[in-house]
Amino acid sequence: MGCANRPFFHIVVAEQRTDQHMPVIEQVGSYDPLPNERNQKLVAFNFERIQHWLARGVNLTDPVAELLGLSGYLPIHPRTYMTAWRNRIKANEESKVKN
Amino acid sequence: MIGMRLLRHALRTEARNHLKVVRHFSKDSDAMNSGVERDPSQTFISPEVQSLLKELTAVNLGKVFEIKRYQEKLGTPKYKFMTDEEVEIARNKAVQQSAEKLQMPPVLLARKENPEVLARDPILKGYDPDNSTYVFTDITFGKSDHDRLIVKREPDGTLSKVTWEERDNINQVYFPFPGRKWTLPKMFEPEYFDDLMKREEYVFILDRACVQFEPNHPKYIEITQKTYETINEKKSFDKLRSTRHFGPLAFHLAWNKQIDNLVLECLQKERIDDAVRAIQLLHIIHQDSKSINVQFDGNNHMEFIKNYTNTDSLKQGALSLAIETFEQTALQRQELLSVHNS
Repeated sequence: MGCANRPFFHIVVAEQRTDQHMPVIEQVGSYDPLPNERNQKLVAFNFERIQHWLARGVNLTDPVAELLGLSGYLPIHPRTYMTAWRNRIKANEESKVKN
Repeated sequence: MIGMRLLRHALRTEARNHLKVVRHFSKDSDAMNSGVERDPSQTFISPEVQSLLKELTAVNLGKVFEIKRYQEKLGTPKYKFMTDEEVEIARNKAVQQSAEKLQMPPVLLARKENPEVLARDPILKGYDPDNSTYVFTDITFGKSDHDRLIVKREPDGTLSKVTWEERDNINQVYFPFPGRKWTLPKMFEPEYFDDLMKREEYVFILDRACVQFEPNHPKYIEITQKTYETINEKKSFDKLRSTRHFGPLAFHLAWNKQIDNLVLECLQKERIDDAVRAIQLLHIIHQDSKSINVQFDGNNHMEFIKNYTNTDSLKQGALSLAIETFEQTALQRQELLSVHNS
């Protein structure tokens, strides 16, 4: 939803079958992947509406599930643990290569 | 009505926490000795103090509705033909509207940063390649800036609530307060602040501080206190009369036992009622002051003020001189009137 070289995501409730450019049912938050001047990545969630849609039986996509896990609303996604683990191994190897 | 809403929130949460500690101490001196700061908020909103402060503000409707040069532009004036009753109705409506403009920003203790930690997940370390903090805001409709749930996940995996400073910033992103700036405006920096004090632009900076900060922000308290001290030194109390800031100014002076300049200025301007009210305010805030032995009963203005001058005031000489001058001029005026009438 951003523009060239500047990504920005809206967290929405939409039909799984439709194209990503088609109108959505409801927007329920936002996520800015680029850190701001205070080194923060801002995520907004309308938890009241998310609760409503989860109760209606909605599927979560992996990125949204990960973000909800990080926020504490849901348990942390296994993918987050995996990426953390892999990043740590990579950082370890790089530091070994430097030394 | 933001001021009163925030005051209620503050009283429900922070002030209560402070009071939990202070309640054990019955005397102000005990509280001071144990290192616990005395909380002004409860005293400030008590009905007696509020009524005294409102009367001290000496509302002049012309000045209340004055459009300052940094606010909206002056439009063309409108003229209306009205009967006496209509004028009365319009005047009452103006008094009601002025009550909103004269809402005093509450006097609170500076907020303490102590964000609650919700979870610790050290296994998450490294999940974000940029090593930045994820800040999650709950944008549910109907929550106030104070109650809104804002949490952050640090790069080391700790999930905690945000600090008050961060909360102000995040609220400004998603729910911007009109007139508030993202970065600290330059006028609050020492160099420009001193220049404003030199030029006596008190209402300007106090209005801007009200817009920019919450009343319990440490910077707000610092700016307002410095402004009040400057006003007290230069004795330009008249600049704040009929504004919303006179109440907190008078409260600050009485809290720090510095009402001498104010009483002196009231005597010089022949505002005897205001001088009495300032001393009454001091008595309510400091129950242990020496001049509390003489109560004001509605008629003994000069006796009440003289008692204060002789016991608690630090400017005995100047105040006694002002009292003498006032009594002499009052006597002369009476003589002139009697001569004129006869």
